[in-house]
Amino acid sequence: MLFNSVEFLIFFPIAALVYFVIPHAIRYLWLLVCSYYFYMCWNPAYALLLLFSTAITYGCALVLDHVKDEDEQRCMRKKKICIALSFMANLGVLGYFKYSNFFIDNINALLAQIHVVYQAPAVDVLLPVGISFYTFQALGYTMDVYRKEIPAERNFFKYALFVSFFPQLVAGPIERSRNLLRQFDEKHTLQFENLRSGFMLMVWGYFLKLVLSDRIAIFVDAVYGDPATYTGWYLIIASILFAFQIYCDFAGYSTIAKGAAKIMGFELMDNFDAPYFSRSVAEFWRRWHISLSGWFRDYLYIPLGGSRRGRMRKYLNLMIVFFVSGLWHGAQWAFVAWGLINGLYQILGELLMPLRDRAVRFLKMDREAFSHKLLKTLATFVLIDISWVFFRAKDITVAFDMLRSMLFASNIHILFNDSLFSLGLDWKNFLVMIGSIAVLMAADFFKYRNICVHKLICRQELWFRWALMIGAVVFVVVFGIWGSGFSEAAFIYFQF
Amino acid sequence: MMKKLLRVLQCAVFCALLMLALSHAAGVLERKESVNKFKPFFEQKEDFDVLFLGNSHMINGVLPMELYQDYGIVSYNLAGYGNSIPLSYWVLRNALDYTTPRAVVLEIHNTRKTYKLSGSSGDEHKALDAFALSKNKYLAIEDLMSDPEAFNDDGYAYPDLKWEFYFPIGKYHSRWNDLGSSDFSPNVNQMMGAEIYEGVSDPEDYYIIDENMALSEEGYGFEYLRKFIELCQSRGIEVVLTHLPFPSNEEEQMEGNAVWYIADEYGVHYLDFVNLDQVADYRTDLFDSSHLNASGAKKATDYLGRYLAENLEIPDRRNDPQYASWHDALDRYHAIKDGRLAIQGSLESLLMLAHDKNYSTVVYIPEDSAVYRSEKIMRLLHNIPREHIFEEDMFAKWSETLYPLETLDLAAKNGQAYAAWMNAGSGEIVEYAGEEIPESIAIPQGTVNLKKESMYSLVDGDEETPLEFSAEAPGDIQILIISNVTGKPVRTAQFAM
Repeated sequence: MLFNSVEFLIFFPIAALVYFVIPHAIRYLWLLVCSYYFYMCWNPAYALLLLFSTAITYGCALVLDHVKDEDEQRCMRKKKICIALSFMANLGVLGYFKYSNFFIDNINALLAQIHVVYQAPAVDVLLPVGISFYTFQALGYTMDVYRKEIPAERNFFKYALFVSFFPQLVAGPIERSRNLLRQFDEKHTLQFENLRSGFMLMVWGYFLKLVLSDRIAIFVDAVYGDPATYTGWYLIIASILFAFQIYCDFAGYSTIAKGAAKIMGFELMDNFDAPYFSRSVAEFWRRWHISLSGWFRDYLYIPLGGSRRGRMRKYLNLMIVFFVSGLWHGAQWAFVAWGLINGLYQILGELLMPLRDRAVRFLKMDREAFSHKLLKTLATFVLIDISWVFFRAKDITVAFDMLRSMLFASNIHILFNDSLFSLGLDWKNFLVMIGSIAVLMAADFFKYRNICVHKLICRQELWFRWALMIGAVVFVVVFGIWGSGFSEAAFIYFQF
Repeated sequence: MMKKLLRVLQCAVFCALLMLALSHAAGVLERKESVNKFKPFFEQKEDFDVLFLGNSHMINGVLPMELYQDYGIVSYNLAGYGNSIPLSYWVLRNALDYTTPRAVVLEIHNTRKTYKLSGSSGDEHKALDAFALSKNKYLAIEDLMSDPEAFNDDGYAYPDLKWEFYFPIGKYHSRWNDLGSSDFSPNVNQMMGAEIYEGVSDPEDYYIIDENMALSEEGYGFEYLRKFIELCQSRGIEVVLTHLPFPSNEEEQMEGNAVWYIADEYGVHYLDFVNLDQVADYRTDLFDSSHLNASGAKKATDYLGRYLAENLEIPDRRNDPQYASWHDALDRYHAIKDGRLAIQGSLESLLMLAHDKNYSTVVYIPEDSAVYRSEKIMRLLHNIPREHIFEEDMFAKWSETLYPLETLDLAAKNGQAYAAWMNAGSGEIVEYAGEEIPESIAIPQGTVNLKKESMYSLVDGDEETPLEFSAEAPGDIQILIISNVTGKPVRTAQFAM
């Protein structure tokens, strides 16, 4: 069940209404039933995987909580074995479903290189929706219990709800146990403010997904689907737009999830914080997919030693994190390349810092000047956008070819005739797209400046608020890409 | 408590306003074809006496305004493009929520199709969108779109499309890009649901098969044909099945023959025009390989009208004060026909449209005109005043009606100039050839003045109206069409071939 499906628009109000009507003591069970129903709408059999992951991590956490030994070292060893088993089981399932064919393809390529005729057959499996998200969420929980940051949850069903909570089940945010688990014990009442905030968040999320992401996708798919024909400036425009497509797609889903949870009284974490206003790649990664970045920071980067073991080790740790991050996003070398490029950006950024400082001094640049900040923002966007080319292209070779084509672009005339309007979006649709991007950037600018647009709106008079909200819904319904006229594009982040 | 109540009230008002805004947006964005087709049907306060259902063969095959004009039958053509028999069944069931007819006429073409829906979602929306959400609409959508193995032409499984039939904005929201003035001032159907086709096509070869050759009853088409009849009979509505004329292939004729068994079993009327192939002349009355043009539709409609009036005793409403609004509707219909004649650019189509009881035609053909060498144009000229064929005339009179213009063929043979006045309404014909052509022809609307090679004016009393014909370049044919209703010329045209 997708958020942008009629089924969800029927399912969610029923789920929320019943949630508030039934006694508090059994509400979590109701949410659990809803969450499993939500997941099983996609593929009932794969709910077993969800259950498996839940059971393993639940049991592991209980064991971790119970392990007692007078010998501290032996106690730690037992805990480590326990958590290692949990990681192996969960990552084993994730690996089988997500990386088997990647592994087999690489083995086959290697065998072909050394002229071995044998080719291992591919594994015929369908990637379970959201497996990377709920696996990481469950593993994060076991790590928290291991570190004694939270006690193990005794109630299996409550814990199962933590892993499967439907608003964030299939595409995040990857919630922390210390934030979400306790909220299942809170007694939520239907609050007008929550209803209003949640509604506004959901409308904003649908705007990002339906009006922007799915509209941009039509153009980007056309260009990236045939990079041999659409070269130079076509690729530049498509690549810039793809940066917005992937942002709106993922932020759209996260915002709808946050809004849906908010209506029921739950507070999910922010997953994006105006990422394209970042002035460095490091800042971008603090603002982009915050829940995943935080997960890698807390459960991978820091355990690896973080920045405490010298500069070289820090750089190595960074590269490991971004390598894994790339792999997490997809079982392709292009994703790995995307991850490594981002790691490299950060290392080079640090290495070149003295050089940059000297250049600033030499050119007498004012770091506080608007132009300087704008330059840094634009430079960061360009760097991130170059890495997105690897993320979106068919493979690494194609990505390099595309970058070369962009670098030597000579067909700038396409910006001044109707060429761009022949790729699925006519000029009216282009206008809607550009206007909507402007709205998004304005909203992100406010966010970057720590100005809460939501509060700004709520401070206005009733007629204005209502006109804005009703206008926004009508705008999304009319200008959104949905229904049989267009294919109901799945959220990009589901594949992770 | 008071605050809570106010909050609830606030939410309710907000939701109501939101729904209002969305429904207004839906109304603007909706494709107007369905509303345009059905609006007069919903606006009619009194019952229709006859409803016509079926697919495109029926839309352009039966003209309710001609029925009213000639027989006083008040009827509506509810047929839709690509409508399957199951869809026609559900359109009827929904229509019966609004009116109770004395008779229903169903075109049986495509009864042999085994599907419930043909695959064209656009046509299906056109058939159902205009009906307000009701129990019958719900039942229709659930029944027609329940099969997960049935896909529309765009590859969507029908069950996935159901919600777009409940909320058509799901289908039409992307039309914001195509909105035009017609979305804000809809072009409502003025022909009681029917449409007129204006082309003239050459018929494909066909032959009539043995009437005992029939398809076996298989699939939803036959199943719903039975349901259709049973529905009507359960409500005391007479059923007339028709197979409107067109040169059908063997399978289509076998389909028509299979329907005989069902018609006999239920004791309902069945007019198989495919076998009665003298009613329409396929050389002049086809728009394409299987659809009637305006000329063919007028012949089929006339036949049906007489049949309904005589066999089912459908009343004549022309002097019924309750149906007084139909006089205005008829005036509008005449104006539409005048308009179409006025702008028709094709000689073939113009001659075809001239076969109409509401018009008289004056024709002038110069010596050695290329018209004489076109068999098709000659047939269309003969077709202008041609009498309609009814059941009793079928064999006795048919051959006599084929070539009503006796002098035309003679003039053609001798390469002489030809002039004629023909009234398709009364059947009167005045013809001249060669030297016999006078300087003026007297017609009921006045006098048409002629000089060598050209008509040049129409004199009505003291008023002389110049006709826009050129004597210097007379072309191969000159045509003057005059309305029998208003007495005014509606078209002057000359064509060079």
